Amino acid sequence: MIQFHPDPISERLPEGASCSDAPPRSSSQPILSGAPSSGATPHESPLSRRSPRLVALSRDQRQSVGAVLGWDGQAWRVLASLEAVPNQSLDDDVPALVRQLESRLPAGERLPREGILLWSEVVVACVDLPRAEGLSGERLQTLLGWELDPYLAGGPELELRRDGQADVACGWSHAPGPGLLLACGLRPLARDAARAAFGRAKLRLRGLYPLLGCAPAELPPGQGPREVLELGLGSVATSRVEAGRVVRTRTTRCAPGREAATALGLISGEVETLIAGPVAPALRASLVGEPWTELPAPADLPVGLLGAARHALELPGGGRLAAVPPAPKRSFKLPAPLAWTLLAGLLATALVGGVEQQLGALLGQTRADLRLARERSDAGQRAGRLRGQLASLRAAQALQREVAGRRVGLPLLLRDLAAATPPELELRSLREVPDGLVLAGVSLDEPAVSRFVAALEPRLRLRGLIAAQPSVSPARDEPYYAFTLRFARGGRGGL
Amino acid sequence: MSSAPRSLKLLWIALAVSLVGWGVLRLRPRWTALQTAEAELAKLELAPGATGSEVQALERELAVAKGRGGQMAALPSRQLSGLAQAAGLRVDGSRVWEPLPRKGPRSAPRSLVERLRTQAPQRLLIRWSARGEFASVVRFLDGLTDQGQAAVLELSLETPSEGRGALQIEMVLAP
Repeated sequence: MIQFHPDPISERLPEGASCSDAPPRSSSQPILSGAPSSGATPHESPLSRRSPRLVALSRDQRQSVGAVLGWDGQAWRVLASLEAVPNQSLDDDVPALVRQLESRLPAGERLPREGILLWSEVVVACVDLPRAEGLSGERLQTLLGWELDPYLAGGPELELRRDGQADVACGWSHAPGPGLLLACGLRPLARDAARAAFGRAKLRLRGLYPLLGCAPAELPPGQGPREVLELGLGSVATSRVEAGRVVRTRTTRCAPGREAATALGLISGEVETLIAGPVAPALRASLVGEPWTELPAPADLPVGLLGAARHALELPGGGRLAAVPPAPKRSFKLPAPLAWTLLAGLLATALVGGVEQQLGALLGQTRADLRLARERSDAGQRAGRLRGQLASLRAAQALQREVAGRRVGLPLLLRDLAAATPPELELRSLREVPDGLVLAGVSLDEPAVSRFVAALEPRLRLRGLIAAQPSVSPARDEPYYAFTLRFARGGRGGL
Repeated sequence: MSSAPRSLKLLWIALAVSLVGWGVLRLRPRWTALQTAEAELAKLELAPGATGSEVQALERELAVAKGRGGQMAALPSRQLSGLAQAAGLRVDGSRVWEPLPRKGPRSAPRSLVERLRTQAPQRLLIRWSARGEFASVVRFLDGLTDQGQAAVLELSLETPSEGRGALQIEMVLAP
């Protein structure tokens, strides 16, 4: 179980300060402004509901620190904070810390839904990766994994994965500019344990940060090179910041209690040195006369905690840091059989769709042709009817003309017959048949018949009647010759 | 068998069923309609066709032809009888002409009477049996010519069997 300190950090006074020197702190007192050099600005008004909030936890072997932080646009507000002695199990500690923090929130405040964890399991380093900007996230993850793997504690996670990549969960800084790349990492099992612990506390883990190395985010703007010292249990971290980027970070291990001496040895004096607060009184006494300034930490919260929160809330200056995301980026890869199935489906769909479209176009064209053909056929039928009517009309008119011609021609025919008949020949019968004219009679002699034919033939030829060979034979019981003469219709004209 | 291959198999089956269903529901009606349309189109292409301008030309031609020919006006029977009497013909019998059943082959030429009967079935045709001189027949025919309406379509003259007397005249008239 967590052993909570009897009084929260926000209610403790720094050592060496008298009660009269310590101003009374409310739980919503601003402790550090966005421009840290300007110092803290007191605020009495409540924090707006729209202001970003975050639960920030830090944990090492000695202590756990928790705070509910809010950013009012100008400065940090500590809505609640506490310090506790950690237990072995992160899974139990985080929910207990969060419950305690929730109980300390001012009236009307609700616990934020997101949180961050600064953890000693997370290592940080500046890695030399040429052309890191051009690398894909996955490739960068692989390279950083190999670089950070030696700094991480061993154990079963040390074994390489089956695909040969180092089993390290990484994050890196996105600050623009040349130089080394600030990166941090931890074992995926530890990351998953932290995410699960936050999940038990009903918080969404936003990022994992190194315990030391996050203070540079709280540096005020400036272009000159600066070094930030952070003191932890048995370790001192130095971070060099140039042109807004962390270009070097180093963690020096030492025996617990030797942190001040180690820090003293790390102050070079070449560049401006800032020590992240809260600065212990013993260290402050040891540094008398040394060229350093304090990166103030009101409310006695570690500056690194605020720096990490600045990064998590994407506030100005936070981009200098690196954080490990709470979950690996899942790259979705479609299984090959499913991909083939979908591809086949797509191709088949495209094929059927194309066939349907082609068929539709063909059908449309055929229907248009059919419509034209129907119109043409209807016109053909109408033309046929008209031709029939025309032919019938013309036949009727031709018949009328034939009747009219006969009206004139028949008396002429009779006159021609009368004129051509010689005295020795008697015409006894005249009969019109469908194919011509049949004349019959008697004659005194055969030459009379021939003369009759010779006289008649040219006259009737003009009327379209062609004479056939006359049939002449002696008449029975009479002294004459009976004859029959046929004229066939042919040629033009006619009766 | 694991669940993934089974799901994949189900996916394949669903895909195949979907494609078949699509084909049945979407492609088959179109294909059938296309086949029907193509068959009808082929039939129509074989049928005689014409353009609109051809039809219009025929209509104009028909109108001109109709305007050209007039109906044959019938001569009243009394006038016709008077004409025969004036010519010296004695009409013994008059009846409506009826076509006789054809005895010859179908290709045999048809007489003017038969053709007129076919073309203008509404027109009355009369068969006369008369007697008279040859000159009377000519006068009668001349009278018809002058009158300009009726016409003799068939004429048959026969000398009586005893050889003397008036001619036996058979004629078919279109009054």
